[in-house]
Amino acid sequence: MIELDRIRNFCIIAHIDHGKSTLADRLLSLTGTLSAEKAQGQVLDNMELEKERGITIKAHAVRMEWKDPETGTPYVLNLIDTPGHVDFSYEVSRSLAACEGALLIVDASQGVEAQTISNLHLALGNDLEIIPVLNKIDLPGAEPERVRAQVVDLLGGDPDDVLMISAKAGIGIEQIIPTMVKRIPPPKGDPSAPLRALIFDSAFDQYRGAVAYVRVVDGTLRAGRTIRFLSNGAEYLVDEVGTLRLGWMPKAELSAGEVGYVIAGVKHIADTKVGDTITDAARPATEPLPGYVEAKSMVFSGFYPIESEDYEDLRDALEKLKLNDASLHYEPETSMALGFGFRCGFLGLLHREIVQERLEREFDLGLIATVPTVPYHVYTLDGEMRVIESPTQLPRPAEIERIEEPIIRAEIVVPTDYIGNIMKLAQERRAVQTGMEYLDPTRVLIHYRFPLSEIIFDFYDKLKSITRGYASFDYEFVGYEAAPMQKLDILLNGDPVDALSIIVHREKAYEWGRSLCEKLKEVIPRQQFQIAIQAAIGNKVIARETISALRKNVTAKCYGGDITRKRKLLEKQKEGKKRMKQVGTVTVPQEAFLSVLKIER
Amino acid sequence: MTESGAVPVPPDPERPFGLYVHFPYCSARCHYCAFYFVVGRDETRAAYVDAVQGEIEAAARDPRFAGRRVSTVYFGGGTPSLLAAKDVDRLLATIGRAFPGGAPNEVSLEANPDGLDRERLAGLRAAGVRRLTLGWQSLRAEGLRILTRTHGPEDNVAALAAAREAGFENVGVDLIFGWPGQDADAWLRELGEAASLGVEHVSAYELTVEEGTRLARRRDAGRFHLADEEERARMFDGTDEVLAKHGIERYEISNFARPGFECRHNLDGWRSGDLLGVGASAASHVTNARWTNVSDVDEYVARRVAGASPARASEVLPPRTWAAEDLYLGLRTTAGIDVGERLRLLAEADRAPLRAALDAARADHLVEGESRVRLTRRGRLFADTVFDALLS
Repeated sequence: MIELDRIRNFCIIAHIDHGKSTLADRLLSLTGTLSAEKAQGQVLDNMELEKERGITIKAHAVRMEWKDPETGTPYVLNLIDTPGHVDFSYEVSRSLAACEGALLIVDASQGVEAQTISNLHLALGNDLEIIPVLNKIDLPGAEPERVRAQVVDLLGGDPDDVLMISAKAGIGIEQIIPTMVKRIPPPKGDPSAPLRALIFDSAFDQYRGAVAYVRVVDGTLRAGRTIRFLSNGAEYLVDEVGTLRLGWMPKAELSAGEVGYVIAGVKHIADTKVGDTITDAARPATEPLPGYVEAKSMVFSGFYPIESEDYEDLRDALEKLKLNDASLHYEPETSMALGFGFRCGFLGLLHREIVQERLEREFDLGLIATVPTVPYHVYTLDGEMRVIESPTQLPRPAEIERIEEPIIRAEIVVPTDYIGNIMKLAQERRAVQTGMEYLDPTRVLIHYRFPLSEIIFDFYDKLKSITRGYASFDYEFVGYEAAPMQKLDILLNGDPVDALSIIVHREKAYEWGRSLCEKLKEVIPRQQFQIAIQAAIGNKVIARETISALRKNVTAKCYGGDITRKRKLLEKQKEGKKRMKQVGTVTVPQEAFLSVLKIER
Repeated sequence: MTESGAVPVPPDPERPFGLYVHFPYCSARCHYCAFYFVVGRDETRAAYVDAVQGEIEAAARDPRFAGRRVSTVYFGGGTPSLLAAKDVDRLLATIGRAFPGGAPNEVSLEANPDGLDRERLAGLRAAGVRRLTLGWQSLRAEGLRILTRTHGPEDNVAALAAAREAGFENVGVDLIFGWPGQDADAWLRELGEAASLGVEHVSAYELTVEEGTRLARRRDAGRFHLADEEERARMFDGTDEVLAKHGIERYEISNFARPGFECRHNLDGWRSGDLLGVGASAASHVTNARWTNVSDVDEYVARRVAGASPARASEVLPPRTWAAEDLYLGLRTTAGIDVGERLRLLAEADRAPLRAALDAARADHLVEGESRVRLTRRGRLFADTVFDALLS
C-alpha cells in the first residue's frame, strides 16, 4: 500500500492549442515513463481523428514515478488527462474530481481564453489547487508579462508563483514537478473505510469488455472481490485491477488515493457510467461520491442511410460506436421523406460531427443527417411535460401550454475591438449579456446567457468570421426557460418534408422560412416538372419559391464515335447524384437537408 | 480482358463498316469547336496524309476489319476541304485496295465555305467525293461573327452554287442555333431561308458550350449569356415544322434530309454499325470495343512512323453498357430501335433494368412503342434523361 502523502493526482487544463499535450509528453519523459523519442508523437492523443482535429476526445490517465532529488523521497504522480471540448464538460468535471490539483496552462502570446476560464471554474468548483503555467515563452510573439498579469488578475496570488516555461524547447520544465509535489495536497481518504472509487472514464476492449478508469477515494479495490455500482446496484466479480502507464499494469490492489483501472466482466460501456461510485459488495459504502449525473444528450439529429438497403449496416455501425462511446444515444426513427433511420442524441455539436465522420469514414456509409435540434421541454394542457427531441414529435399547438428551451451560460473572450460585433451577434441570437470584465486593457471577458438552439446553427463560424478568429467561446448548460417556439414545415409540391421541419422562435419564423425556401431553391436541381417550395406554420404558408421545370436535356451532336465520351460524362455526373434522395416525386440532394445550417442571417 | 472484365465480341465479317477520316487542319480557330484541330502547321500535312494512308493499310491486316467491305467513307475535321484533291484521291484509292469488297455507297466530305471555288470542288468530285456537307453555321453576319467564323453569308450562298456547278447533287449544310442574341423567331426565319435555298440535308445543332473551349472561357468570364432554356426549347421544337414545309424531314435529333438523302455514314453509326476512325483523335468502335487515337498530329505521325498503334484509350464494354449505348444511339433516330431484338442478346439480369428504364420513360411519355421504341416529341428534348436512366 502506498501512503497517501506519497501520491499526487493532477490534471492539466488549457485552452485548445496552448500546449497541453506537449507538456504532458515532457512530464512523461522527465519521469522516465517513456523515452524522449516516443514522446514525440504526443501519446495521450491516440485516435486518428483526435490528431487531425488537435483535440483530445477521450480522457486517459498515466502513472509516473518520481524521486525527489534532494530528499530521495519517491512519489507517485497520476496525470489524469481531460477532454478538451465543451461537449464533454461533464466528463471533464469527473476527471477533475479525481484530482487534487491542476496545472493551468496559458499560452504566453495568446493569453487567457474562454476555455481557460471555463476549465478554471470547473477546477475551482472541485477545490483543486491551481498551479498557473505560462507556456511558449520563447516564441517571438510571446508577451509573458502581459499574460502573467492577466493570470494573476484571474487567480490572485503572487506573480512569482506563475511558472514560466516552454514545453517544446524544454525551458523551465524542471521546476514543474517539485512545485506540484510541494503545492498540490496529497489525496485525502480513509484506507480503512468501505471502498469508494470514482469512475472518471471508461473504454471498451473487444476481449475484456468495459474497462473503468477509477480513482480510489476510500478503502481498497482488489482483484477477486465482488464490486457493486452504486447508481444501479449491479454487481461484478473483479478480474483484474492495475495502474496505467502506456498500457495496463496489473496489480493485486489499488488503495485509497490511487488511480488505475478495473476489469470486471462488464459487457457494455454504458454500464460503467462516468461519475458512478464503485464499492465492495461485501462491505458496501452507503453514500455515493458526490457529483454523479446521468449524461444527457443536448443535440439530436436524424441519421439516415442514402441507400435504404444500408439501414442494417448503419445500425451495426452505431452499435459498434456505442461500445466505445457511452454518451452516444440512438433509437430507430422513421421519416416520411427519408425512410428508416435513427434519431441520435449527442453531448454537443462536435460530438455529433465526430460520430457522423466516423460513420462515413470508418464504416464507409453514405448518410443524410437532418438538421440538429436541441431537447425542448413541452408542457401540455393536460399537465404533462414531454421532452421533444425532434420537430416531428412536437404536439399540435392547441395541445401545448408552453415550451421551454435549454439555456447555456457562455463566456466569450475577445479583443476589445470586436465588442461591438459580438454584441450584435449576441442580439441576433437572442442572448442576454450578464456581465463583462476587462482581462487587461485590450481583452475583455463577456458573460452571456444564450438559448442553446441559437448556437447549434453556424454559430462558431460566424463568431470566428466577425472577430477574425480572435474570439474564444465556451459554455455550460444551466437550465430551461420558456420561449415562444413554433414548428416550421417545408413543403415540396404540397407534401410536407418531415426531415426539413425545424423548431424556431416565433419572431424568427418568417425570416427563417424565407431564407430556407431561397436556399432550397439553390440546391434542388431542376426537374422535368415545376417544383413549389413552401414554408408553413400550421396551415399558413409564410414563404414560397418556385423552381421552374427543366425544359430539355439533350446532347445536340452525338454520333457513333462520340457515344462513349457522352456516356462517361453522364457516369461522372452520376457520382455527384449519389447523394440524392427521392422525396415524393422530387429528387432532393443531401445538401438540402443541411441547408438550414448554411442560412445567412 | 479489360478492367470491366468484358471480352470483345467478334464482328460479323459479312457486315460492312463505315470509315471515318479525320483531317484536323484549319485555317482559323472557331471558338465553340471542341473537336481536335490544329491551325496552320502546313508543313506537317504531307506526313499526316501518309500516316493516315498507313493506318488504313494497317487496318486491312487487322482481323476485325480484314476482308470486310467499306460501306461509307466520311472525311471530317478540322477542315477536310483543305485536303488537296489528289490526297483525297490517294486515300480513296488506298481504301479501295485495302478493302476490295466493292465501292462505298457514300463518300462524304465536310467543306468550309471560304475559299471553296468550283475548281476545287470539281477536283474533289473527280477524286470520288459524292456528298458535301457545307459548314454554313449561320446565314447571319452577326451569327458568323459570334461563332468566329471566317466567312460571310454571301460565301455560304456562293459555296452552294459552286457545289451545284461542280456537279454535286447531294449537298447538306450545318447550322448552329441558340447563339447569344438569337431568339427563336430569328432562328426559325433563318432556317426557312436556308431551306429555301435548296439543300438536300440540314444538320441543325443547338450551340453547346463545351468545356475547355474559348467559348466556355468567354461565358465563364461573363462576356455573353445564352438565350434562356425556354427560348432554346422553342427553337428546337420549331425546327421540324419549318424544314418539313420544304420537304426536309427529321431523321435524327439534329439531322434532317429529303427522303433518300439521309447521311448513311451517320445512320450506320446510330444503328451501332462498326466504325473505323483513322487520323488523330478519331474514334472507332467494333461491336463492344471502343478506342480513340491520340489527339496530337505529331504524336500520331510519330507512332505511325514507328509502326506503333495510334490508339490511346481503349475499352471493352460489358453487355449491359453496350446495350445502353446502342439503345441511346438508336433512340436518337426518328425510326427508333427494335428493342426486343437488341435485348434478346442479353442475359435476363442485364435485360431487366434496361426494360425497366424504358418502361419508366414510357410512363413519363418520353418514349413510345412496344417493340420498336422511339422518342416522343417531348422525349427528344429529354434524350439524355432516358440515356441516364438506361445507365442506372
